[in-house]
Amino acid sequence: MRKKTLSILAVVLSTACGPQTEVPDGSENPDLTQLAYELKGTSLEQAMRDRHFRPLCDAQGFPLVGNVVSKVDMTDVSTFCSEVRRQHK
Amino acid sequence: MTVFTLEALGGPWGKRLAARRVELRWEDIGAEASPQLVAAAREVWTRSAFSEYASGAAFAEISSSLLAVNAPIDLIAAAGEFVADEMFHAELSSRVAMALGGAVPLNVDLSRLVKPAVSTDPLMRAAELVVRTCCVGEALTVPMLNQSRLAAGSLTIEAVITRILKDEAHHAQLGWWFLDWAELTDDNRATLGRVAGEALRGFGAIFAARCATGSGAGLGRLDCARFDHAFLDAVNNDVVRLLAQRGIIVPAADVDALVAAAA
Repeated sequence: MRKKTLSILAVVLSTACGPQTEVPDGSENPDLTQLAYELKGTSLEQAMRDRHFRPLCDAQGFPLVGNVVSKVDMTDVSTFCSEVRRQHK
Repeated sequence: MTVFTLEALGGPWGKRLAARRVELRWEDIGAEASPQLVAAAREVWTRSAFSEYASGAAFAEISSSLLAVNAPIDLIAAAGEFVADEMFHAELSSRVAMALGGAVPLNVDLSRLVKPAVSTDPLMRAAELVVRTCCVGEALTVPMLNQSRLAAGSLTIEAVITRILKDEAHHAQLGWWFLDWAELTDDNRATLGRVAGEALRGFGAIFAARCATGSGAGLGRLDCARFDHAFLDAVNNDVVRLLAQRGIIVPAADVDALVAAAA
């Protein structure tokens, strides 16, 4: 039997834009306006379920060493949230 | 691929990380930040937790490679301790992400955490790993975290970054001490210059996305202009210059490619 453990990092899924909102992977899809278009016709629930992120990697898919992930342009949260809110109306 | 989460066993094993902990007011994080900034910061701190985890894997590989070349035992011990440091940093980053509302779903491949060395010579295998991890990745981390701390906008996040920085400077230093110890040939140095250049090119991924302005800086995030300037400055001053002092020349084309990606 697996021993009980303490959760240190857990994914929180929410359909509300704000502190508990999923955001898009801008590093994989630099044109988030395109993402917004792709979201048309997608339910909010589906959009949230499908939005997964990938770590920053080199050309061979290995994670970048160190911790330099602080740049704001990883995603454009406003674009995504605005679109989600628009769909939700 | 798996969604990145972390867990701990506690008990006697938890004490090892507990000894590193500092008292922080987690409930204060993001109290006055906009919802957009908090949401974006969740992504940054989830990514940060994974970066630290992957760095721990890199130091585990370095420990093994140093053992294989009968490196000085204090250097080997330090590399082993750095694995624990990185797990602690992963825990700290996770606590920030959780205090902000929880992690974002980050798809990771835990079977490909560290790019393997290609050399068949044990000393060069160690050198490749050390150059990529310590002399490039960790050397860039220190100045970038310094910038993030200045723009934290939260005393708790400032304290978290300060605590991480306390260790990261040593992580970079291991690389320079290793290179000063290892007896490398001119061919070895030329190879390591290319290894460093390739590692630097990998960071071009940071500049692949267009620059967003919607959620602003703070909570550990930097605006694009500040990030780009500090990053390129660190590439030259904290990586290329220090490698050159040891006869390891990073090909100019690799640095130019990074500068072009940032433009």
